[in-house]
Amino acid sequence: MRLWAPLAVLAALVAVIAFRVWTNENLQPLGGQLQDVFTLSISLLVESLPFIVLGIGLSILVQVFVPTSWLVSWLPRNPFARRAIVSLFGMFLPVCECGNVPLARGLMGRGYSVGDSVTFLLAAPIVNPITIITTHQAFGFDDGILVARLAAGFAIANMVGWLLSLHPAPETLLTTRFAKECRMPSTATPQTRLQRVGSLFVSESTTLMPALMVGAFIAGALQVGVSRDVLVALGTDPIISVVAMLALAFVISVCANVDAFFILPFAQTFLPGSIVAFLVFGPLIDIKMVALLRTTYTTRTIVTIAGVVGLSALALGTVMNSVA
Amino acid sequence: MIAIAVLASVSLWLGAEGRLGFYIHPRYNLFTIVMASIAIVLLMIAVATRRDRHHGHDHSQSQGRRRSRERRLARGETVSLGFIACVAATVLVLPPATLSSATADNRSSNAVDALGSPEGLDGEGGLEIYETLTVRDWASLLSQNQNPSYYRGKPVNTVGVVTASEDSPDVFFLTRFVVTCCAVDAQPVSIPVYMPDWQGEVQLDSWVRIEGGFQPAPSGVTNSPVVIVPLSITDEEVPNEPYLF
Repeated sequence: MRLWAPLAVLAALVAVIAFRVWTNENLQPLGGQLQDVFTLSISLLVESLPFIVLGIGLSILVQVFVPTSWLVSWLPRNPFARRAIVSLFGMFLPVCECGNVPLARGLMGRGYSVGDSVTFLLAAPIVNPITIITTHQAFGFDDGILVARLAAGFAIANMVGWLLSLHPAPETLLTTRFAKECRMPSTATPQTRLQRVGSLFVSESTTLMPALMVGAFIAGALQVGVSRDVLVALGTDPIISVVAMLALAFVISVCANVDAFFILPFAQTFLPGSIVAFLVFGPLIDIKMVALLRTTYTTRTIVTIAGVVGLSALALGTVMNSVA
Repeated sequence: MIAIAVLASVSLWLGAEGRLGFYIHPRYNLFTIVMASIAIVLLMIAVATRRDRHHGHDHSQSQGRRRSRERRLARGETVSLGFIACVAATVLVLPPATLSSATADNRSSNAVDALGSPEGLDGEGGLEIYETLTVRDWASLLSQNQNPSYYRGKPVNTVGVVTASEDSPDVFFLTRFVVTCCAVDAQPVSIPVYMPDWQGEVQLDSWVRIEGGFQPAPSGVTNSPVVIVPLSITDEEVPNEPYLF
Protein backbone atom coordinates (compact mmCIF):
# COMPACT_ATOMS: atom_id res chain seq x y z
CA MET A 1 0.00 0.00 0.00
CA ARG A 2 1.24 3.47 -0.83
CA LEU A 3 0.97 5.57 2.27
CA TRP A 4 1.68 8.78 0.34
CA ALA A 5 -1.38 8.21 -1.88
CA PRO A 6 -3.85 10.21 0.26
CA LEU A 7 -1.50 13.18 0.10
CA ALA A 8 -1.14 12.82 -3.67
CA VAL A 9 -4.92 12.73 -4.12
CA LEU A 10 -5.34 15.75 -1.84
CA ALA A 11 -2.66 17.62 -3.81
CA ALA A 12 -4.46 16.81 -7.06
CA LEU A 13 -7.75 17.98 -5.51
CA VAL A 14 -6.18 21.30 -4.49
CA ALA A 15 -4.67 21.70 -7.98
CA VAL A 16 -8.03 21.07 -9.68
CA ILE A 17 -9.81 23.52 -7.38
CA ALA A 18 -7.09 26.17 -7.84
CA PHE A 19 -7.40 25.84 -11.63
CA ARG A 20 -11.20 26.05 -11.31
CA VAL A 21 -10.93 29.25 -9.27
CA TRP A 22 -8.62 30.78 -11.89
CA THR A 23 -10.90 29.90 -14.82
CA ASN A 24 -13.90 31.22 -12.92
CA GLU A 25 -12.23 34.58 -12.36
CA ASN A 26 -10.69 34.98 -15.82
CA LEU A 27 -13.16 33.49 -18.28
CA GLN A 28 -16.70 34.42 -19.29
CA PRO A 29 -19.69 32.09 -19.83
CA LEU A 30 -20.46 31.39 -23.48
CA GLY A 31 -24.04 32.66 -23.23
CA GLY A 32 -27.06 31.63 -25.31
CA GLN A 33 -28.14 28.14 -26.28
CA LEU A 34 -24.67 26.59 -26.25
CA GLN A 35 -24.14 27.70 -22.66
CA ASP A 36 -27.56 26.26 -21.76
CA VAL A 37 -26.51 22.88 -23.21
CA PHE A 38 -23.54 22.89 -20.83
CA THR A 39 -25.56 24.18 -17.87
CA LEU A 40 -28.21 21.46 -18.34
CA SER A 41 -25.60 18.74 -18.86
CA ILE A 42 -23.51 19.77 -15.86
CA SER A 43 -26.71 20.00 -13.83
CA LEU A 44 -27.48 16.37 -14.69
CA LEU A 45 -23.92 15.34 -13.84
CA VAL A 46 -23.84 17.17 -10.50
CA GLU A 47 -27.30 15.86 -9.61
CA SER A 48 -26.35 12.27 -10.54
CA LEU A 49 -22.87 12.17 -8.95
CA PRO A 50 -23.97 11.58 -5.32
CA PHE A 51 -26.37 8.83 -6.40
CA ILE A 52 -23.69 7.18 -8.53
CA VAL A 53 -21.25 7.27 -5.60
CA LEU A 54 -23.96 5.92 -3.28
CA GLY A 55 -24.77 3.16 -5.77
CA ILE A 56 -21.09 2.24 -6.17
CA GLY A 57 -20.73 2.31 -2.36
CA LEU A 58 -23.68 -0.05 -1.90
CA SER A 59 -22.34 -2.26 -4.70
CA ILE A 60 -18.96 -2.45 -2.91
CA LEU A 61 -20.76 -3.18 0.35
CA VAL A 62 -22.69 -6.02 -1.28
CA GLN A 63 -19.64 -7.50 -3.02
CA VAL A 64 -17.02 -7.13 -0.30
CA PHE A 65 -18.74 -7.14 3.06
CA VAL A 66 -22.00 -9.11 2.64
CA PRO A 67 -21.63 -12.90 2.40
CA THR A 68 -23.05 -14.47 -0.76
CA SER A 69 -25.05 -16.93 1.34
CA TRP A 70 -26.82 -14.05 3.11
CA LEU A 71 -27.75 -12.41 -0.19
CA VAL A 72 -29.06 -15.50 -1.94
CA SER A 73 -30.08 -18.18 0.56
CA TRP A 74 -33.07 -16.44 2.12
CA LEU A 75 -34.71 -15.64 -1.24
CA PRO A 76 -37.57 -17.95 -2.30
CA ARG A 77 -36.55 -20.66 -4.77
CA ASN A 78 -39.67 -20.11 -6.85
CA PRO A 79 -38.48 -17.65 -9.53
CA PHE A 80 -41.73 -15.65 -9.58
CA ALA A 81 -41.70 -15.21 -5.81
CA ARG A 82 -37.97 -14.41 -5.89
CA ARG A 83 -38.42 -11.66 -8.50
CA ALA A 84 -41.40 -10.30 -6.57
CA ILE A 85 -39.18 -9.95 -3.50
CA VAL A 86 -36.29 -8.51 -5.53
CA SER A 87 -38.59 -5.87 -6.99
CA LEU A 88 -39.23 -4.60 -3.44
CA PHE A 89 -35.52 -3.98 -2.71
CA GLY A 90 -36.06 -0.34 -3.67
CA MET A 91 -38.16 0.09 -0.50
CA PHE A 92 -34.99 -0.45 1.56
CA LEU A 93 -32.41 0.94 -0.89
CA PRO A 94 -33.99 4.16 -2.14
CA VAL A 95 -31.19 5.03 -4.54
CA CYS A 96 -32.00 7.03 -7.68
CA GLU A 97 -32.02 5.04 -10.93
CA CYS A 98 -28.42 6.01 -11.82
CA GLY A 99 -27.23 4.45 -8.56
CA ASN A 100 -29.22 1.29 -9.17
CA VAL A 101 -27.03 0.33 -12.13
CA PRO A 102 -23.82 -0.23 -10.12
CA LEU A 103 -25.88 -1.92 -7.41
CA ALA A 104 -27.44 -4.28 -9.97
CA ARG A 105 -23.97 -5.05 -11.29
CA GLY A 106 -22.89 -5.82 -7.73
CA LEU A 107 -25.86 -8.16 -7.22
CA MET A 108 -25.02 -10.04 -10.42
CA GLY A 109 -21.44 -10.28 -9.24
CA ARG A 110 -22.83 -12.06 -6.18
CA GLY A 111 -24.86 -14.62 -8.09
CA TYR A 112 -28.14 -12.93 -8.99
CA SER A 113 -29.46 -13.85 -12.44
CA VAL A 114 -29.82 -11.39 -15.33
CA GLY A 115 -33.62 -11.54 -14.95
CA ASP A 116 -33.38 -10.79 -11.21
CA SER A 117 -31.07 -7.84 -11.81
CA VAL A 118 -33.33 -6.33 -14.49
CA THR A 119 -36.37 -6.81 -12.25
CA PHE A 120 -34.56 -4.89 -9.52
CA LEU A 121 -33.40 -2.18 -11.96
CA LEU A 122 -36.87 -1.58 -13.35
CA ALA A 123 -38.85 -1.80 -10.11
CA ALA A 124 -36.57 0.00 -7.66
CA PRO A 125 -36.94 3.56 -9.04
CA ILE A 126 -40.76 3.33 -8.80
CA VAL A 127 -41.44 0.96 -5.87
CA ASN A 128 -39.44 3.19 -3.62
CA PRO A 129 -40.55 5.30 -0.61
CA ILE A 130 -39.24 8.62 -1.94
CA THR A 131 -40.92 8.19 -5.32
CA ILE A 132 -44.18 7.15 -3.64
CA ILE A 133 -44.14 10.19 -1.35
CA THR A 134 -43.34 12.69 -4.12
CA THR A 135 -45.94 11.19 -6.47
CA HIS A 136 -48.52 11.37 -3.68
CA GLN A 137 -47.55 14.98 -2.94
CA ALA A 138 -47.96 15.89 -6.59
CA PHE A 139 -51.13 13.98 -7.48
CA GLY A 140 -52.60 12.55 -4.25
CA PHE A 141 -54.89 9.71 -5.28
CA ASP A 142 -56.39 11.72 -8.17
CA ASP A 143 -57.25 9.77 -11.32
CA GLY A 144 -55.54 6.66 -9.93
CA ILE A 145 -52.16 7.99 -11.07
CA LEU A 146 -50.20 6.91 -7.97
CA VAL A 147 -51.76 3.42 -7.79
CA ALA A 148 -51.40 2.89 -11.55
CA ARG A 149 -47.74 3.95 -11.41
CA LEU A 150 -46.88 1.58 -8.57
CA ALA A 151 -48.83 -1.38 -9.94
CA ALA A 152 -47.50 -0.90 -13.48
CA GLY A 153 -43.91 -0.43 -12.30
CA PHE A 154 -44.08 -3.64 -10.27
CA ALA A 155 -45.86 -5.63 -13.01
CA ILE A 156 -43.64 -4.48 -15.90
CA ALA A 157 -40.45 -5.13 -13.91
CA ASN A 158 -41.55 -8.67 -13.10
CA MET A 159 -42.74 -9.31 -16.66
CA VAL A 160 -39.43 -8.17 -18.19
CA GLY A 161 -37.50 -10.20 -15.59
CA TRP A 162 -39.58 -13.28 -16.45
CA LEU A 163 -39.06 -12.78 -20.20
CA LEU A 164 -35.29 -12.51 -19.78
CA SER A 165 -35.25 -15.56 -17.51
CA LEU A 166 -36.60 -17.62 -20.44
CA HIS A 167 -33.44 -16.98 -22.43
CA PRO A 168 -31.47 -20.21 -22.91
CA ALA A 169 -28.09 -18.49 -22.47
CA PRO A 170 -28.63 -15.54 -20.15
CA GLU A 171 -24.91 -14.69 -20.08
CA THR A 172 -25.17 -13.57 -23.71
CA LEU A 173 -27.55 -10.81 -22.57
CA LEU A 174 -24.58 -9.13 -20.90
CA THR A 175 -21.69 -7.30 -22.51
CA THR A 176 -18.68 -9.55 -23.03
CA ARG A 177 -16.64 -7.47 -20.64
CA PHE A 178 -19.14 -7.56 -17.77
CA ALA A 179 -19.93 -11.28 -18.29
CA LYS A 180 -16.19 -11.94 -17.99
CA GLU A 181 -16.02 -9.92 -14.77
CA CYS A 182 -18.91 -11.98 -13.34
CA ARG A 183 -17.18 -15.26 -14.25
CA MET A 184 -13.90 -14.20 -12.70
CA PRO A 185 -13.52 -15.98 -9.34
CA SER A 186 -13.04 -13.53 -6.52
CA THR A 187 -10.29 -15.67 -5.01
CA ALA A 188 -8.14 -15.76 -8.17
CA THR A 189 -5.82 -13.17 -6.67
CA PRO A 190 -5.66 -12.91 -2.90
CA GLN A 191 -6.63 -9.39 -1.94
CA THR A 192 -7.36 -7.63 1.30
CA ARG A 193 -10.79 -6.09 1.70
CA LEU A 194 -9.32 -2.62 1.31
CA GLN A 195 -7.71 -3.65 -1.97
CA ARG A 196 -11.02 -5.03 -3.21
CA VAL A 197 -12.76 -1.77 -2.24
CA GLY A 198 -10.21 0.21 -4.26
CA SER A 199 -10.33 -2.19 -7.17
CA LEU A 200 -14.14 -2.19 -7.37
CA PHE A 201 -14.32 1.60 -7.07
CA VAL A 202 -11.91 2.00 -9.99
CA SER A 203 -13.66 -0.55 -12.22
CA GLU A 204 -17.20 0.73 -11.48
CA SER A 205 -16.41 4.44 -11.79
CA THR A 206 -14.34 3.88 -14.94
CA THR A 207 -17.21 1.99 -16.51
CA LEU A 208 -20.11 4.20 -15.43
CA MET A 209 -18.82 7.76 -15.59
CA PRO A 210 -18.15 7.92 -19.37
CA ALA A 211 -21.64 6.54 -19.98
CA LEU A 212 -23.17 9.08 -17.63
CA MET A 213 -21.28 11.90 -19.33
CA VAL A 214 -22.40 10.86 -22.81
CA GLY A 215 -26.01 10.51 -21.64
CA ALA A 216 -26.00 13.84 -19.81
CA PHE A 217 -24.62 15.76 -22.79
CA ILE A 218 -27.01 14.21 -25.30
CA ALA A 219 -29.92 14.92 -22.95
CA GLY A 220 -28.74 18.52 -22.47
CA ALA A 221 -28.41 19.10 -26.20
CA LEU A 222 -31.83 17.62 -26.98
CA GLN A 223 -33.48 19.68 -24.25
CA VAL A 224 -32.23 22.85 -25.90
CA GLY A 225 -32.81 21.63 -29.45
CA VAL A 226 -36.34 20.21 -29.12
CA SER A 227 -39.10 22.67 -28.27
CA ARG A 228 -41.39 21.47 -25.49
CA ASP A 229 -44.26 23.37 -27.08
CA VAL A 230 -44.14 20.91 -29.98
CA LEU A 231 -44.63 18.01 -27.58
CA VAL A 232 -47.30 19.78 -25.52
CA ALA A 233 -49.28 20.62 -28.66
CA LEU A 234 -49.95 16.90 -29.00
CA GLY A 235 -51.44 16.61 -25.51
CA THR A 236 -55.14 16.06 -26.12
CA ASP A 237 -55.11 13.05 -28.44
CA PRO A 238 -55.55 9.82 -26.39
CA ILE A 239 -52.82 7.91 -28.24
CA ILE A 240 -50.52 10.60 -29.65
CA SER A 241 -50.36 12.28 -26.24
CA VAL A 242 -49.04 9.03 -24.73
CA VAL A 243 -46.39 8.79 -27.45
CA ALA A 244 -45.46 12.44 -26.87
CA MET A 245 -45.07 11.78 -23.13
CA LEU A 246 -42.88 8.74 -23.79
CA ALA A 247 -40.70 10.91 -26.05
CA LEU A 248 -40.54 13.64 -23.41
CA ALA A 249 -39.60 11.13 -20.69
CA PHE A 250 -36.85 9.68 -22.91
CA VAL A 251 -35.37 13.09 -23.67
CA ILE A 252 -35.46 14.91 -20.35
CA SER A 253 -33.90 12.13 -18.20
CA VAL A 254 -35.18 13.60 -14.93
CA CYS A 255 -34.81 11.56 -11.69
CA ALA A 256 -37.68 9.25 -10.69
CA ASN A 257 -37.70 10.77 -7.22
CA VAL A 258 -38.92 14.12 -8.52
CA ASP A 259 -40.41 13.46 -11.94
CA ALA A 260 -43.93 13.75 -10.51
CA PHE A 261 -43.33 17.43 -9.73
CA PHE A 262 -41.84 17.98 -13.16
CA ILE A 263 -44.84 16.53 -14.96
CA LEU A 264 -47.50 18.06 -12.71
CA PRO A 265 -47.94 21.25 -14.82
CA PHE A 266 -48.57 19.06 -17.87
CA ALA A 267 -51.52 17.43 -16.09
CA GLN A 268 -53.57 20.48 -17.13
CA THR A 269 -53.20 19.68 -20.83
CA PHE A 270 -52.45 15.96 -20.95
CA LEU A 271 -54.85 13.11 -20.18
CA PRO A 272 -54.20 11.03 -17.00
CA GLY A 273 -53.10 7.96 -18.97
CA SER A 274 -50.40 10.02 -20.69
CA ILE A 275 -49.12 11.25 -17.32
CA VAL A 276 -49.00 7.66 -16.00
CA ALA A 277 -47.15 6.55 -19.16
CA PHE A 278 -44.55 9.27 -18.48
CA LEU A 279 -44.22 8.26 -14.81
CA VAL A 280 -43.85 4.57 -15.65
CA PHE A 281 -41.58 4.84 -18.69
CA GLY A 282 -39.27 7.71 -17.63
CA PRO A 283 -37.65 6.08 -14.58
CA LEU A 284 -36.89 2.93 -16.55
CA ILE A 285 -35.82 4.14 -19.99
CA ASP A 286 -34.27 7.49 -20.84
CA ILE A 287 -31.11 8.68 -22.58
CA LYS A 288 -29.04 8.73 -19.41
CA MET A 289 -30.22 5.26 -18.31
CA VAL A 290 -29.68 3.73 -21.75
CA ALA A 291 -26.08 4.99 -21.70
CA LEU A 292 -25.58 3.52 -18.22
CA LEU A 293 -27.30 0.21 -19.07
CA ARG A 294 -25.00 -0.14 -22.09
CA THR A 295 -22.11 -0.67 -19.67
CA THR A 296 -23.68 -3.95 -18.56
CA TYR A 297 -26.24 -5.27 -21.07
CA THR A 298 -25.91 -5.79 -24.82
CA THR A 299 -27.61 -3.38 -27.21
CA ARG A 300 -30.05 -6.14 -28.18
CA THR A 301 -31.01 -6.69 -24.52
CA ILE A 302 -31.56 -2.97 -23.97
CA VAL A 303 -33.69 -2.68 -27.13
CA THR A 304 -35.78 -5.64 -25.90
CA ILE A 305 -36.21 -4.11 -22.45
CA ALA A 306 -37.02 -0.68 -23.91
CA GLY A 307 -39.48 -2.23 -26.38
CA VAL A 308 -41.38 -4.18 -23.73
CA VAL A 309 -41.43 -1.27 -21.28
CA GLY A 310 -42.43 1.21 -24.01
CA LEU A 311 -45.24 -0.95 -25.39
CA SER A 312 -46.51 -1.69 -21.88
CA ALA A 313 -46.54 2.01 -20.98
CA LEU A 314 -48.23 2.83 -24.30
CA ALA A 315 -50.92 0.20 -23.72
CA LEU A 316 -51.50 1.30 -20.13
CA GLY A 317 -51.71 4.99 -21.05
CA THR A 318 -54.02 4.40 -24.00
CA VAL A 319 -56.40 2.21 -21.95
CA MET A 320 -56.50 4.77 -19.11
CA ASN A 321 -57.13 7.62 -21.58
CA SER A 322 -59.93 5.63 -23.22
CA VAL A 323 -61.81 5.07 -19.97
CA ALA A 324 -61.04 8.53 -18.49
CA MET B 1 -11.38 7.39 -12.50
CA ILE B 2 -10.30 10.81 -13.79
CA ALA B 3 -13.90 11.63 -14.64
CA ILE B 4 -15.23 10.95 -11.16
CA ALA B 5 -12.23 12.74 -9.61
CA VAL B 6 -12.87 15.88 -11.69
CA LEU B 7 -16.60 15.85 -11.07
CA ALA B 8 -16.21 15.29 -7.32
CA SER B 9 -13.59 18.07 -7.11
CA VAL B 10 -15.75 20.51 -9.05
CA SER B 11 -18.79 19.61 -6.91
CA LEU B 12 -16.77 20.36 -3.77
CA TRP B 13 -15.58 23.65 -5.28
CA LEU B 14 -19.14 24.60 -6.23
CA GLY B 15 -20.21 23.76 -2.67
CA ALA B 16 -17.41 25.86 -1.17
CA GLU B 17 -18.26 28.79 -3.47
CA GLY B 18 -21.97 28.47 -2.69
CA ARG B 19 -22.62 27.89 -6.39
CA LEU B 20 -24.25 24.45 -6.30
CA GLY B 21 -27.52 26.40 -6.55
CA PHE B 22 -26.67 27.10 -10.21
CA TYR B 23 -27.34 23.45 -10.94
CA ILE B 24 -29.35 21.71 -8.21
CA HIS B 25 -31.96 22.35 -5.51
CA PRO B 26 -30.33 23.43 -2.19
CA ARG B 27 -31.81 20.43 -0.37
CA TYR B 28 -29.26 18.28 -2.24
CA ASN B 29 -26.26 20.47 -1.33
CA LEU B 30 -25.20 18.59 1.81
CA PHE B 31 -25.84 15.19 0.20
CA THR B 32 -23.76 16.17 -2.83
CA ILE B 33 -20.85 17.48 -0.72
CA VAL B 34 -20.86 14.40 1.54
CA MET B 35 -20.93 11.95 -1.40
CA ALA B 36 -18.26 13.91 -3.31
CA SER B 37 -16.07 13.71 -0.18
CA ILE B 38 -16.70 9.96 0.03
CA ALA B 39 -15.69 9.68 -3.64
CA ILE B 40 -12.40 11.42 -2.81
CA VAL B 41 -11.78 9.03 0.11
CA LEU B 42 -12.50 6.03 -2.16
CA LEU B 43 -10.09 7.52 -4.70
CA MET B 44 -7.40 7.67 -2.02
CA ILE B 45 -8.00 4.00 -1.21
CA ALA B 46 -7.91 3.12 -4.92
CA VAL B 47 -4.63 4.95 -5.51
CA ALA B 48 -3.08 3.60 -2.32
CA THR B 49 -3.86 -0.02 -3.22
CA ARG B 50 -3.38 0.23 -6.98
CA ARG B 51 0.23 -0.95 -7.17
CA ASP B 52 -0.38 -3.98 -4.97
CA ARG B 53 -3.34 -4.96 -7.07
CA HIS B 54 -1.34 -4.83 -10.29
CA HIS B 55 1.46 -6.90 -8.81
CA GLY B 56 -0.73 -9.88 -8.16
CA HIS B 57 -3.12 -9.50 -11.03
CA ASP B 58 -1.54 -9.96 -14.39
CA HIS B 59 0.77 -12.89 -13.81
CA SER B 60 -1.84 -15.39 -14.92
CA GLN B 61 -2.65 -13.58 -18.14
CA SER B 62 -1.04 -14.74 -21.33
CA GLN B 63 0.83 -12.35 -23.58
CA GLY B 64 -1.77 -12.80 -26.33
CA ARG B 65 -4.69 -11.83 -24.12
CA ARG B 66 -2.76 -8.83 -22.88
CA ARG B 67 -2.05 -7.68 -26.45
CA SER B 68 -5.70 -8.14 -27.38
CA ARG B 69 -6.72 -6.03 -24.42
CA GLU B 70 -4.28 -3.33 -25.41
CA ARG B 71 -5.67 -3.27 -28.94
CA ARG B 72 -9.19 -2.82 -27.57
CA LEU B 73 -7.96 0.05 -25.44
CA ALA B 74 -6.35 1.63 -28.46
CA ARG B 75 -9.55 1.53 -30.51
CA GLY B 76 -12.75 2.01 -28.54
CA GLU B 77 -11.43 3.44 -25.34
CA THR B 78 -9.36 6.14 -27.02
CA VAL B 79 -12.61 7.64 -28.29
CA SER B 80 -14.10 7.33 -24.83
CA LEU B 81 -11.04 8.88 -23.19
CA GLY B 82 -11.12 11.74 -25.70
CA PHE B 83 -14.75 12.44 -24.90
CA ILE B 84 -14.13 12.33 -21.15
CA ALA B 85 -11.21 14.72 -21.59
CA CYS B 86 -13.46 17.17 -23.48
CA VAL B 87 -16.21 16.93 -20.87
CA ALA B 88 -13.73 17.25 -18.00
CA ALA B 89 -12.21 20.29 -19.70
CA THR B 90 -15.67 21.82 -20.11
CA VAL B 91 -16.56 21.20 -16.48
CA LEU B 92 -13.19 22.62 -15.40
CA VAL B 93 -12.98 25.63 -17.69
CA LEU B 94 -16.44 27.11 -18.19
CA PRO B 95 -17.55 29.42 -15.37
CA PRO B 96 -20.84 28.35 -13.75
CA ALA B 97 -23.79 29.93 -15.54
CA THR B 98 -27.53 29.95 -15.04
CA LEU B 99 -30.04 29.10 -17.74
CA SER B 100 -30.53 31.88 -20.27
CA SER B 101 -33.44 33.50 -22.06
CA ALA B 102 -33.04 30.90 -24.82
CA THR B 103 -34.32 28.22 -22.46
CA ALA B 104 -36.99 30.55 -21.06
CA ASP B 105 -38.27 31.03 -24.63
CA ASN B 106 -38.24 27.27 -25.21
CA ARG B 107 -40.39 26.46 -22.17
CA SER B 108 -43.92 27.54 -21.32
CA SER B 109 -43.89 30.45 -18.91
CA ASN B 110 -46.02 30.77 -15.75
CA ALA B 111 -47.24 27.15 -15.58
CA VAL B 112 -49.77 26.77 -12.75
CA ASP B 113 -47.60 24.46 -10.66
CA ALA B 114 -44.56 26.72 -10.96
CA LEU B 115 -46.45 29.72 -9.60
CA GLY B 116 -47.51 28.51 -6.13
CA SER B 117 -49.18 31.05 -3.87
CA PRO B 118 -47.44 33.99 -2.17
CA GLU B 119 -47.41 34.04 1.63
CA GLY B 120 -47.91 36.89 4.08
CA LEU B 121 -50.46 38.85 2.03
CA ASP B 122 -53.17 38.76 4.69
CA GLY B 123 -53.38 42.56 4.82
CA GLU B 124 -51.67 42.93 8.21
CA GLY B 125 -48.16 43.71 6.95
CA GLY B 126 -48.84 47.02 5.19
CA LEU B 127 -47.62 47.92 1.71
CA GLU B 128 -43.97 47.20 2.53
CA ILE B 129 -44.70 43.47 2.39
CA TYR B 130 -45.06 43.83 -1.39
CA GLU B 131 -41.43 44.94 -1.67
CA THR B 132 -40.39 41.46 -0.51
CA LEU B 133 -42.32 39.65 -3.25
CA THR B 134 -40.37 37.70 -5.85
CA VAL B 135 -41.06 37.49 -9.57
CA ARG B 136 -42.83 34.20 -8.85
CA ASP B 137 -45.09 35.83 -6.24
CA TRP B 138 -46.06 38.65 -8.60
CA ALA B 139 -46.66 36.22 -11.47
CA SER B 140 -48.86 34.19 -9.16
CA LEU B 141 -50.87 37.27 -8.10
CA LEU B 142 -51.27 38.29 -11.76
CA SER B 143 -52.65 34.86 -12.59
CA GLN B 144 -55.19 35.09 -9.74
CA ASN B 145 -56.26 38.72 -9.94
CA GLN B 146 -56.30 40.70 -13.18
CA ASN B 147 -58.10 43.76 -11.82
CA PRO B 148 -55.76 46.78 -12.35
CA SER B 149 -57.15 48.58 -9.30
CA TYR B 150 -55.80 45.80 -7.03
CA TYR B 151 -52.22 46.71 -7.97
CA ARG B 152 -52.58 50.50 -7.60
CA GLY B 153 -50.02 51.90 -5.15
CA LYS B 154 -48.35 48.56 -4.44
CA PRO B 155 -44.55 48.87 -4.67
CA VAL B 156 -42.44 46.46 -6.72
CA ASN B 157 -38.83 45.83 -5.73
CA THR B 158 -37.60 42.57 -7.16
CA VAL B 159 -34.75 40.84 -8.99
CA GLY B 160 -34.71 38.78 -12.15
CA VAL B 161 -33.28 38.19 -15.61
CA VAL B 162 -34.23 40.29 -18.63
CA THR B 163 -35.94 38.23 -21.35
CA ALA B 164 -37.54 39.53 -24.53
CA SER B 165 -41.28 39.71 -25.27
CA GLU B 166 -42.67 38.49 -28.57
CA ASP B 167 -45.74 40.70 -28.16
CA SER B 168 -44.18 44.14 -28.27
CA PRO B 169 -40.76 45.78 -28.58
CA ASP B 170 -41.80 48.14 -25.77
CA VAL B 171 -42.14 45.33 -23.23
CA PHE B 172 -39.62 42.91 -21.74
CA PHE B 173 -40.10 40.26 -19.12
CA LEU B 174 -38.43 40.01 -15.75
CA THR B 175 -37.93 36.26 -15.43
CA ARG B 176 -36.83 33.68 -12.87
CA PHE B 177 -36.71 29.90 -13.13
CA VAL B 178 -38.51 27.69 -10.60
CA VAL B 179 -36.63 24.46 -9.87
CA THR B 180 -37.90 21.28 -8.21
CA CYS B 181 -34.81 19.10 -8.41
CA CYS B 182 -32.17 20.51 -10.76
CA ALA B 183 -31.86 22.92 -13.69
CA VAL B 184 -33.22 20.23 -15.99
CA ASP B 185 -36.75 20.69 -14.61
CA ALA B 186 -36.54 24.51 -14.43
CA GLN B 187 -39.75 26.30 -15.37
CA PRO B 188 -39.74 30.03 -16.17
CA VAL B 189 -42.01 32.49 -14.40
CA SER B 190 -42.12 36.08 -15.59
CA ILE B 191 -43.80 39.47 -15.23
CA PRO B 192 -44.12 42.14 -17.94
CA VAL B 193 -42.17 45.40 -17.72
CA TYR B 194 -43.23 48.34 -19.91
CA MET B 195 -40.26 50.36 -21.08
CA PRO B 196 -40.10 51.71 -24.65
CA ASP B 197 -36.61 51.31 -26.17
CA TRP B 198 -35.56 49.03 -23.30
CA GLN B 199 -32.89 47.50 -25.54
CA GLY B 200 -30.83 50.66 -25.10
CA GLU B 201 -31.10 50.57 -21.32
CA VAL B 202 -30.79 46.94 -20.28
CA GLN B 203 -29.14 43.90 -21.83
CA LEU B 204 -30.89 40.66 -22.65
CA ASP B 205 -29.99 37.95 -20.11
CA SER B 206 -28.65 40.49 -17.58
CA TRP B 207 -29.65 40.34 -13.91
CA VAL B 208 -31.40 43.52 -12.77
CA ARG B 209 -33.32 44.87 -9.79
CA ILE B 210 -36.46 46.76 -10.74
CA GLU B 211 -38.20 49.25 -8.46
CA GLY B 212 -41.49 50.69 -9.56
CA GLY B 213 -45.17 49.92 -9.60
CA PHE B 214 -47.93 48.42 -11.69
CA GLN B 215 -50.05 50.41 -14.12
CA PRO B 216 -52.74 49.40 -16.61
CA ALA B 217 -51.05 48.07 -19.75
CA PRO B 218 -51.19 50.35 -22.83
CA SER B 219 -53.49 48.93 -25.46
CA GLY B 220 -52.09 46.07 -27.53
CA VAL B 221 -48.64 45.71 -25.94
CA THR B 222 -49.22 42.54 -23.90
CA ASN B 223 -51.88 40.05 -22.82
CA SER B 224 -51.47 41.12 -19.20
CA PRO B 225 -53.93 43.78 -17.98
CA VAL B 226 -51.15 45.47 -16.00
CA VAL B 227 -47.44 46.04 -16.53
CA ILE B 228 -44.62 47.17 -14.30
CA VAL B 229 -43.50 50.72 -15.00
CA PRO B 230 -40.00 50.97 -13.52
CA LEU B 231 -38.79 53.93 -11.51
CA SER B 232 -35.26 52.53 -11.43
CA ILE B 233 -33.38 49.60 -12.92
CA THR B 234 -30.03 48.62 -11.44
CA ASP B 235 -27.62 45.85 -12.39
CA GLU B 236 -27.38 42.94 -9.95
CA GLU B 237 -24.82 40.21 -9.36
CA VAL B 238 -26.06 36.74 -10.17
CA PRO B 239 -27.36 35.40 -6.83
CA ASN B 240 -25.81 32.20 -5.45
CA GLU B 241 -29.29 30.71 -5.60
CA PRO B 242 -30.47 32.05 -8.95
CA TYR B 243 -33.51 29.78 -9.09
CA LEU B 244 -36.64 29.92 -6.96
CA PHE B 245 -37.84 26.81 -5.14
